[in-house]
Amino acid sequence: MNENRYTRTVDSIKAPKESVQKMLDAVHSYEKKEKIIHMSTLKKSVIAASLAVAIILTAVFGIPALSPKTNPFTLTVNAAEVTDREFTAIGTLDTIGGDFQTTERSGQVIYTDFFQFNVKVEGSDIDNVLYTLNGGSFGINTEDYGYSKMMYQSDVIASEMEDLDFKGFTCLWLCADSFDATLPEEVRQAVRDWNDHANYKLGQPTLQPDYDDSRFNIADCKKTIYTALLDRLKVDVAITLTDGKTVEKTLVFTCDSVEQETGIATISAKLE
Amino acid sequence: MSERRYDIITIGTEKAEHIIHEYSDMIYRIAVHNLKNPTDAEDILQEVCLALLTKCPADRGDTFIKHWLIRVTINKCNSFRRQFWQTRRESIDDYLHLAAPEEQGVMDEVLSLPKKERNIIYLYYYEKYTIKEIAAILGMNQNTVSSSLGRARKRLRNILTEGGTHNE
Repeated sequence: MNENRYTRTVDSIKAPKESVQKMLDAVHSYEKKEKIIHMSTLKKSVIAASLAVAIILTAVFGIPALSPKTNPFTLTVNAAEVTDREFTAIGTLDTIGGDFQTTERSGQVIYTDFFQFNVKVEGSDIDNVLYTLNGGSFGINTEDYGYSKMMYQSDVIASEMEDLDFKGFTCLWLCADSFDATLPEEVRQAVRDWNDHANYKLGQPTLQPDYDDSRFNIADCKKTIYTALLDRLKVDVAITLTDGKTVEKTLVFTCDSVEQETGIATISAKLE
Repeated sequence: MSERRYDIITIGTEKAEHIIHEYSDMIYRIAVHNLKNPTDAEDILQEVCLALLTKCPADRGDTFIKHWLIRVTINKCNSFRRQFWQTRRESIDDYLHLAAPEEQGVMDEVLSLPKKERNIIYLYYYEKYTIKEIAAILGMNQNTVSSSLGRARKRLRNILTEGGTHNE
């Protein structure tokens, strides 16, 4: 490669001055929050740990119910307290969808989406919190350090994250594969249909020769796929108290509903 | 029992300004390489600026911060593309005004490469990182970087002449 031509070319690509000024304006108007990090607690024993998993778009902040606490801790997802009594709405997803990868010859479609949730455990008697992801195909993207890492089931998050900011921003990366026999056929069909709906919208050939877009319903499709993906996702939470006892709970998720007109999905969570 | 709190030390205003002046072009170039669209690349500039203010560790040196910016920019571009209906099929002509007219053919070819290879080409040839450094920055295996670079060079070989020197 003639790198001189390439480097000259890239040299001529400059960030627009207005955009740079906008960035500087943002810096000047940003309220600096200077606080203290307790360095001794940045190692393995991460209390009130952040698996920062924040919902990208709209967040619904639930008001914790005023009920007697039976657990020595409070677990919140996107600031909504999640209990073992019932599912609690933790936010909405109004992204239209993730990425599709397709293999035209074999007809395989892989749908990948990113769900971001802020999970936090707090309590005055907590010594350590350990999170373990189980079920399904997922990954974690720790954006604070621009660090992307696929983590598979049974990986222990806390120890993997020990070198990262405790409020590390993480994102759960879920996949639905139209060739995955562990997924019900209706889910795999929904993945194929959603992919072809996207192709249809873009004026591109559909993978399925008999695809009929008039029968496609985005709300039903998303509900089918999101329900399947979220039902697979379980986060085991092991909380070690200062008296040495351990409380173990599993955080589970579900897709409550998807609005017909907007395609916005409401997500709930519960402890088991 | 005492309650423990966790807070964040964020980067200072003066340092943030210095970083923006120093690296805004780099962020923009990476965004253009990934998104092929100058308008989207401008959006990425603002998103990376916000991440810089809220998440960049304050007590790290310049090398770390540059690597951090590269990774965050690429991640922001990936997040941006995941909003499916924002994936555009615009012509490559849309960004040709960015390059000097005599170099348009070069950008045509580079931007026709897969995204991973574009990033590696940029980091290798423009930022002058070694394969080992690129692997560390992108969180990839060195062999993967090496083979991606080789593939990219092969694709570009017919169009561009080999030239220049580089440290391995």
